[in-house]
Amino acid sequence: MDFKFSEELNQFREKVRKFGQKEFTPERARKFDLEEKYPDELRKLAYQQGLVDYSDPWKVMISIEELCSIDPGLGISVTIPYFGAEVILLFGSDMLKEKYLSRVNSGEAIMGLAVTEPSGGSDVAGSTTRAEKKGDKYVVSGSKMFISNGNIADFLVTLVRTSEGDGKRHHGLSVLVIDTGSTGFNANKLTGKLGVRATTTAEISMQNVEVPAENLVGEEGKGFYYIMTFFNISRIFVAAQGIGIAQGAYNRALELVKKRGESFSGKEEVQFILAEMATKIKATRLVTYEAASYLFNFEPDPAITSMAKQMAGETAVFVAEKALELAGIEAVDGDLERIFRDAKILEIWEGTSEIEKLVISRNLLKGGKA
Amino acid sequence: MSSEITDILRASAREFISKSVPSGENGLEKSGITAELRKKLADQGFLNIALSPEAGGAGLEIEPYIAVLEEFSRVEPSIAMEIMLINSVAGKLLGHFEDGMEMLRKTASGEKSFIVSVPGEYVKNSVHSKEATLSGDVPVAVGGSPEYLIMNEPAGRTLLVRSGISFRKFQKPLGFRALSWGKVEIKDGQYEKVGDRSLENIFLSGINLEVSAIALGIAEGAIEKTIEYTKVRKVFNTSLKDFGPVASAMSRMKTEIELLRTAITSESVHENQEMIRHKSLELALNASRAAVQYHGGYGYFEAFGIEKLYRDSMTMKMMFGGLKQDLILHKKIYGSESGFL
Ligand SMILES: Cc1cc2nc3c(=O)[nH]c(=O)nc-3n(C[C@H](O)[C@H](O)[C@H](O)COP(=O)(O)OP(=O)(O)OC[C@H]3O[C@@H](n4cnc5c(N)ncnc54)[C@H](O)[C@@H]3O)c2cc1C
Repeated sequence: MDFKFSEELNQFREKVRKFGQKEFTPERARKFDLEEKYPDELRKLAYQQGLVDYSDPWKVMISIEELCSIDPGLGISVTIPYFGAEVILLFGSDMLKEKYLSRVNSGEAIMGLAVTEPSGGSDVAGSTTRAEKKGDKYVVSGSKMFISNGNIADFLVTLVRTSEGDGKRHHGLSVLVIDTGSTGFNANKLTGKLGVRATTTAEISMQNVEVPAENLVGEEGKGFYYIMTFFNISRIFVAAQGIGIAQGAYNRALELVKKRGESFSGKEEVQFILAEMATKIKATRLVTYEAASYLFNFEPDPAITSMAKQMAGETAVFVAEKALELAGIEAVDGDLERIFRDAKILEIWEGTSEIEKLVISRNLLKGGKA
Repeated sequence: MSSEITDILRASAREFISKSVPSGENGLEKSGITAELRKKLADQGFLNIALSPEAGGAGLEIEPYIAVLEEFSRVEPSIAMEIMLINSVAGKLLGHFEDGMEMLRKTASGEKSFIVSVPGEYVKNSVHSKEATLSGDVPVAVGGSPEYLIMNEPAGRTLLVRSGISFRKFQKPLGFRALSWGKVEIKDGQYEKVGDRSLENIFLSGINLEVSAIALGIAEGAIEKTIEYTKVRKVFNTSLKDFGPVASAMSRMKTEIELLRTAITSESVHENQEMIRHKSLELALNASRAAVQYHGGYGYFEAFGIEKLYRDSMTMKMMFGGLKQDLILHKKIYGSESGFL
């Protein structure tokens, strides 16, 4: 077992951190949060400087972790343009990879993944957005809800229902790549989020949107399986968001405790809180890295991945709340309160904590290891 | 046990909310508590509810007063906080001298408004006073509009500052956004000492039941909305309430709420006030966090009025919890100074 990263990755981490410290100033973070504005210039800058390197998953994780520790809203925003790409990468045709992914890879385009619907996000197999095959096209109608990048993406990897699936709901689902410029496609930006307000979220409505049949990812009827496979990948990156958020809150809390001097740092109650925060972060990081190492060696373990995601959400929320408690009322305005608001999303998106627990226990009951 | 007057006041607080407080898009958070709304609250007798008759108040007992705080907090905790700041903070400090009494009367009738510095062990109000004037900074103050300021001085005195106040409002503070929060700069402000009671002392132990009632109201608002939501939201073709962990979480929290409510309305409430305060602050945070969670993605958006309760309850903990508060509780439990190392 080797707990050390290579020198190259350590240097990469250092480079990302320096970028974050320079570009994600508290003033900027605050501005994008207040205005609920997507930081496209920062996305481009991060891309140009090679900080979002999709060819190496460890680098992606490190970028997410480091950037989120400086500011979660900005950190997620600059690392999310590729959201959903693995679905095409693993199951899509060469044409789809060439036509769509290459543009995201080169920093030109932004994409997103549209699974959740107004009537539910946890029950993926309950998707009702219809896609009917007519000649060499699919005609898509339905709505999607809470879609990150929905109003700025060039295209969305979209889960649709192509049949009733011989009585088994999840058999009737497929994945289509849908151009957001298509006639009948409409994205409505949703405002007023608790946190991660630099990221952009939209409600999508599609009315008879025509999608070329060649935009079908893989085979018809396998959409549910593709999306679940994707979640087993993306949850690792989401766990990295949680580690970053928790680390950022912890770093700030530690600094504050030290600054207050012995009268504060000398109290056992304060020391115990710091110790609990640090321990949870360490444990979450270890589980996440373990899950990542299985996945990046093509031997994913869904139970461990879900453990990492669930723990990361819990840790981010715990550490952010404790940091505010330590800081006291002066933190009612500032970086820590923003991080607290950002942290809660970790227990909701990419499978809520309850759904992660279901995934974990189902795998354990099937013989998976704890 | 609740008296008839308490029931009537609860009902009128509910009616006030439904008629005069905007619903949706997080209620008052965008507009804030305007002078007009403050006047309406005053006209309904909420702003002076616990003040003495000399201050123009009804001089009500604690029970109906905290019932009103609780009722407002279910939907709009900022209003409850405003009522508490007037009745239990300004009310305890300004009523001891004629000028102060006049100010209190005007405040309670909605004609005047004030801000108060929020004390905290590490909040440093750095002010220096001359004979008749004072200058310096107050890092965090909250309230209505900054027509006058009540503040604690590092030396321990509590002061009323009437002029020279410049208030730099925070654009979007964490919680209680319908109130004004900000930093204060005082330049040659006219001031006077108000009574012998320190503001810090009032925050630490003089408003236990008021704080508890606001926190309890937040918890109730959060859990009641969530119980309703889990009845109607279907997930996997099943009502959310039918899943064991969901029903357990809601039942557990509702039980805790009812136990606290029993404690806060019992005759031994004064004896147990430190414990009640501690427990309600904790419960508000746990309940509102769970409420966001069980509303899923919708809970994360302002329009549902749930995330606000999570922010407000965290702010309550920062404002009214903390190590000094813990020490008071420890002393209560052990009967002597404990847990200070
Ligand atoms: C800011 C933001 C960005 C998002 N971005 C995207 C995106 O890019 N693409 C996308 O497709 N979706 C996205 N989502 C949606 C997100 O993934 C869903 O909100 C999430 O999956 C939960 O779905 P829901 O909101 O419909 O909640 P529901 O599924 O209605 O669940 C409500 C609550 O019930 C709980 N629950 C459900 N089933 C059970 C059970 N069996 N037992 C116990 N509890 C249960 C859930 O955990 C949750 O707490 C985003 C959401 C937000 C808030």
